[in-house]
Amino acid sequence: MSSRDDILAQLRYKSVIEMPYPDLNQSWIKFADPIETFIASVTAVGGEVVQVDRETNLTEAIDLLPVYRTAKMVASCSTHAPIEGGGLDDISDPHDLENLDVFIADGVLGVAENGAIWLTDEKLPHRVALFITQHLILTVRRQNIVHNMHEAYQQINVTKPGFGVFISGPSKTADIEQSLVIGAHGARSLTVFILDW
Amino acid sequence: MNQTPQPHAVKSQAFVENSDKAHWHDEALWFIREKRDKQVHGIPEWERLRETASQIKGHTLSKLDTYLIAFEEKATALGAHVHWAKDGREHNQIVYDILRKHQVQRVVKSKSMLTEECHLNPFLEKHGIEVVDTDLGERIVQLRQETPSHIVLPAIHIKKEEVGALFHEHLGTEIGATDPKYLTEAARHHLREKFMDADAGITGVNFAIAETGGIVVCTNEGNADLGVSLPKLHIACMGLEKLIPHVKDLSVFTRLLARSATGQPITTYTSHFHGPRDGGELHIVLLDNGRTALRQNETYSEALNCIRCGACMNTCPVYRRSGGHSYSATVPGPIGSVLNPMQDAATYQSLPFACSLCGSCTDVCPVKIPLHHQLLTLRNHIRLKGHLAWSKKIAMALTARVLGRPLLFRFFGAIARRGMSVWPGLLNNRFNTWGKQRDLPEPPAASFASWYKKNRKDKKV
Repeated sequence: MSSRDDILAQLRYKSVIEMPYPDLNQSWIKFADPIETFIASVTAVGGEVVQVDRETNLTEAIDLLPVYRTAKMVASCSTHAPIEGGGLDDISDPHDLENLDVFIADGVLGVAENGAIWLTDEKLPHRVALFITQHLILTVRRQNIVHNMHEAYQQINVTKPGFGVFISGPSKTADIEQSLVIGAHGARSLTVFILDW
Repeated sequence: MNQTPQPHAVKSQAFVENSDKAHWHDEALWFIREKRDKQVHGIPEWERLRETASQIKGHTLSKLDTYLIAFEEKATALGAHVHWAKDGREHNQIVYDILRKHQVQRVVKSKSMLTEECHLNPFLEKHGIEVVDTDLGERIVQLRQETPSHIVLPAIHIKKEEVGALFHEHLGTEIGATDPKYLTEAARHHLREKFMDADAGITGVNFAIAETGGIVVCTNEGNADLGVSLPKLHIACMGLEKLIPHVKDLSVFTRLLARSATGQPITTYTSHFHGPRDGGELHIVLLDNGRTALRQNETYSEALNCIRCGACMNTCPVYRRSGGHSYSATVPGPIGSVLNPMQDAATYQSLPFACSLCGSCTDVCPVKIPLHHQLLTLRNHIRLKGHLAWSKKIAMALTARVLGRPLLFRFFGAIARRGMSVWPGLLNNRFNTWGKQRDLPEPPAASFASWYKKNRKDKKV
């Protein structure tokens, strides 16, 4: 008997009464101003937020960021802030992104309760860019900010494409004496641009 | 195979000997418990969330065979390879066979208690494969040739001075450096090299979705994502109990996990993998290792609800004051004191007694495992299996005799009251562990029975 059959036989050996599945359609937390809460949440997890309106040129706003000004290698998969020749299409091996300083990508939605931003690799030839970059810049449209995780999972499609991630703040660790250190393995900083359109 | 470890009480003795460090350990964990409380108080529906999570887990476990088959079918359709392992040995062999087939020499691994449970690292190293733990805390304990002392904070028992000395030796940091930021930066550089050189990435799994065949991995450092998005081979190892039925269930668990674990609203990275990436391979290893047996046990099966947040450890007065290594087990603390004796009552007989029955673990558990109730009944389970320590056996037999006979009780009570005032060493001696590091109270002049007779007998109560 294979281990698979053996495990399944073990699970069926003793009948267990089927427990009911709960109703998830409950009232979950909502905020008076989800945008304001989202900004507070991103800030609390170590990120920075910049709100831009229609009149602002996003590329110019990004240009003003010190991390961007001092960067040697930058890349963008953002449709809102593309970089001339800075896409990832020409890169065949993800290891070539080792020295990436700044990466810009578009978030699908933002979650007010925890500052998380949902991203997929639909437009990312190399998902590693999100993690290997020294500094990460994400955009999220104001209208795509939801109150809580329940709303978030209702709106996203986790199966297509095959990779999706909620990112909440920059990479961090507190493994040495519980001292919080920003910039463990992933991005050392996260800047979120909330687009007012 | 395993040598029977020393009982928890004996190992804790060594831990509490360093009073300053033990005190610091206690406070460090309580600090996390307080951070958890702060998060929890911001969520008005917290109790409803816990209840819902518990119901989802209960439901899934009651139909685990159906959900496992559904998961396998969906995951396979997405192009992943699903493997089934009955025990740690088979699990390790499966992982090794995959690595060998791909001629892998260097592996980066993100935190996975399951691979610790299976002792995967020494097994792979024996076969000449370099395994690097990439979670900072796990890397620290790996370099010290130790095991994690906490499931979420593997290096919580280590002081920054010790990390400094360790990194000086292995990573060439400046001698005497103790700044966590500096040390973390050094580890970042060291591990980036490992990520760049790795041929394969191994991760644990926080949740596996039956409905879609996907897996979810949560980290704060980003190490799991770096580890599996550079090399083409990703092996994900999971216990059978990690399954959940639907994608929407993730909304409940992602809200509970990090708040309970570290007092964060969500982990920094919550990554969802559905099938391998283009040109890559994804293997998912499902491990039983006693889980199906535990599920058949109605009294303790709820322990399988566990999502490995570690909240029960952070709050446990015994864990905080005795350290994770005193439990001699991969999973320490309250949940470990249930899981380990259920798997091996003889080896872990002392663990259910490493508990004051205060119930704090049950209060904080995000999936409502009745931990302290289980720990209480487990003591009887240990006794029935014949593994009770002789000291406890004798003490309990004697106590039962005396308490069951009023005359005898009164007699010994009188002796103790008189004797203790004349000769304190009568009860407070080396045979009485309760007298260690504390004085016994002043003996009362008279017994409660005689006081009651005098004061209340004729009065209405």
